[in-house]
Amino acid sequence: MIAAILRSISRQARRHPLYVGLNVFGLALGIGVFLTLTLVVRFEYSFNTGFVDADRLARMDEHWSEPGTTPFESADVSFRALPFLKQDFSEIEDAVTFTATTLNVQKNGQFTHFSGRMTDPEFFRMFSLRLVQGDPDTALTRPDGLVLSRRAAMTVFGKSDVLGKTIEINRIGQKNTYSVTGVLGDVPSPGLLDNVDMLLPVPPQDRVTRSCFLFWGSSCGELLLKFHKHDDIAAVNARLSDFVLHRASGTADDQISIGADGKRVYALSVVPLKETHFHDSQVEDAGSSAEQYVIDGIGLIGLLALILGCANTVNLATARAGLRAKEVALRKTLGASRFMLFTQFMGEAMVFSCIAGLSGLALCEICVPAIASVTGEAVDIDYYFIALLLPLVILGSGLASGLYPSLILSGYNPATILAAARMPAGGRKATMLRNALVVAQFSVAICIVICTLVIDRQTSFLRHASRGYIQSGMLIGQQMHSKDIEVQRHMLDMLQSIPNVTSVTLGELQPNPHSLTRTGFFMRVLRDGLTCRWSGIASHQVTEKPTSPACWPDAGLMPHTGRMMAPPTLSLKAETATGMLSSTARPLCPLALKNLMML
Amino acid sequence: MLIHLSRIQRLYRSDEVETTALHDIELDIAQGEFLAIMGPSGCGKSTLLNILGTIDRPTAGSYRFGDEELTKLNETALARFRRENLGYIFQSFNLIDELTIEENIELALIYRNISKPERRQRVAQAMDRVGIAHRARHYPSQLSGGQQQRAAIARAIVGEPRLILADEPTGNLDTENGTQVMDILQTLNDEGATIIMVTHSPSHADLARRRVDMLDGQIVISVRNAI
Repeated sequence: MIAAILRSISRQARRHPLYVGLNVFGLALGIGVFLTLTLVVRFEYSFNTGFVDADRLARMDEHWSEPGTTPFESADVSFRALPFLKQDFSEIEDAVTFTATTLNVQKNGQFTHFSGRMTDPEFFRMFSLRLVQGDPDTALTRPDGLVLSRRAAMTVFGKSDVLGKTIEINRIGQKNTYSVTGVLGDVPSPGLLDNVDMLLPVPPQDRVTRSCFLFWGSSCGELLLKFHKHDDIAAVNARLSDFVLHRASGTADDQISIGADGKRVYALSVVPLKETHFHDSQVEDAGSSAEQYVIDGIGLIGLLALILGCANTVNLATARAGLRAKEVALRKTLGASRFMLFTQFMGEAMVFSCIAGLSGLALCEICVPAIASVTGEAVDIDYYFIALLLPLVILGSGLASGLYPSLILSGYNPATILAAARMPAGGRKATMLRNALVVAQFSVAICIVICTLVIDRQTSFLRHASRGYIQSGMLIGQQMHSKDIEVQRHMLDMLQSIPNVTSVTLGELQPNPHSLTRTGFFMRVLRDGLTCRWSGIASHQVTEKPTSPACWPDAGLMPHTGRMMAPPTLSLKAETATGMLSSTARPLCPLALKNLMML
Repeated sequence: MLIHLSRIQRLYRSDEVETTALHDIELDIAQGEFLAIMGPSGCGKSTLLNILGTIDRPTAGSYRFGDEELTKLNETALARFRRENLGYIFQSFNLIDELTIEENIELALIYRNISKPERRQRVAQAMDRVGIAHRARHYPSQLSGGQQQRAAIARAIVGEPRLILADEPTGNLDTENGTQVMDILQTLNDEGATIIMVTHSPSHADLARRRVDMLDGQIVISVRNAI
């Protein structure tokens, strides 16, 4: 039977190459698009799902609802909650901090940047991660312990057998020597550990000096939790408002707490780690994210492409059914049963589907790397998944595209066909079906074209619309960590001296309503001079975008009303009364300016 | 008796009209008989042949083939009956254009449980019998009408059927080719094949052992030819 089917297809390909070509190409295109988009959707849905006990892992987020600002959620949280979490919630099995940091290693006079994470010794236990070298239980217990990815080990040492080797790492201008205590093997991807080169313990001094460890409201990284049961996540979520009231609220002059009315502006929530990828599209300071409805839409488009491919095959097969009517009548006359003919035509559809499936896979091989390169996502072809999916797709598309034509063809009455002057094409029902399929095909295709045009126009608008600041020729650098004004000025001068650099300024000017610094001031002005001190919590709460005076005009920003960086006009008395600082006072309260702009 | 038709009726119903194609046909055909059916167009000859060939079902009546009542068989059983007992020859040859002559003939054996070497052997023998062995690898479009009909006859006889049904087998052929085809049929009949042939040609009908004339769905004359 299989040989007969292959012979029949071979004959059709020889005698009707256009028909066979259109049939296979249409279905291959549908299958190829379906496979490609399914891989994209699967990738987007697989974030953080590869960890052992992924159902029990979660992240703690902060929610801010400060007056005058849009409420927002942040994955960058205070670690102040850490010591209380296991104490107050028996459901929590483990909790660790997880802070992103850039690490620089100098080798042969060249700096190499690595993506690092500072975390706690329990990290590997909590995520059930194994090391290819080293003991996961002790790898991060030493203050100078360092766990490298294999890639980082190869980059730094040229080999992966590096246990016990030392390495000098420059982190935010501070150089420390670390000893390699572990090498990471393959980690679940995509997810939390994507592109992480190095893991190092939180420096002990950070726990007692860094504000995010000490104060509620000061943030510096993620807080990751592991629960005894998945259901515990919801149970803990329900009690977090009480936790905030009990642990984060305090008095007005309490420097550690959120304040007396903390619950009004501050809340905590726990997000299952598997859900963070889609959840984070609405979360500040989160990692890779995607809108779930967009991803579902992409999946739907893939499915529609497959349906269109099948519909195309059904159309061609039913339209061509008349041409095979004589063959069917003859075969029936010669003793073929309807089942035999049905099997033959279904077999042909399956073989067409197989050829189209393999061609679709080839198309997918071409498209997936292209999509990965355009989106920057590490989407790849999982051949185990494809080995499961492709046979199902081939079977499904073979059935979908072959069932109806096979039923029609095998159902022909030979006496009618042999007596007829012209060949039938399936009758009125088949004609109606073909018309409906053509209308559906074109409707969906036109919808997709319109959607693509709309997205193209929107993208073009986003690219070219004025955002109220200079976009062309501007480079925005990373944080300038030094709080020393002289160091900042020296850096600006150095950058200004680079040829063709017209202007260099400092400021937090990214046009993002949430990138505001929330600061509490408690001002005390002395007659014998101006002093100020940070309290963290005070009667004056301001949200601000610290900038240097030249930053706004250099970035092309204009105030809606008023004047920018006007010279001080307030008297000392007025400054004292309002809490505003004059330019003479400003150097005494240096700001850690985060962004460096070069024009 | 090989075939016994009793009170066979065939009605065609549409929304408004009911047409009687066959009316109370009574016909017995013996093993080894060569029967010619004649009559004007629309008299029911082809309908009768289709019923004899089980590709159409009578509305009423009985059709016994040997000991088997065919009107009670389902489609699958009828398909099995056709492949084991019948051979067809059509006016328009009905060869499949995509297949070679050899493959067209083999088609009659393909649905039987016959090994490929045996199929090849029987096909070769059938082609030899009708004189088209040299055209085995050709496609139908490369053959003359006479050669195509001989290929169709080879297809009809390759399965060694108990009954050969021929629907105007010379209708599309010139005199010479028509004569050749009739010679082949006569030879087959002489060798023991039972043949039922529909024809418009009185001279060809005279070559059969028996002739029945039809009119308005009924057999009006049944005569035995002197051969």
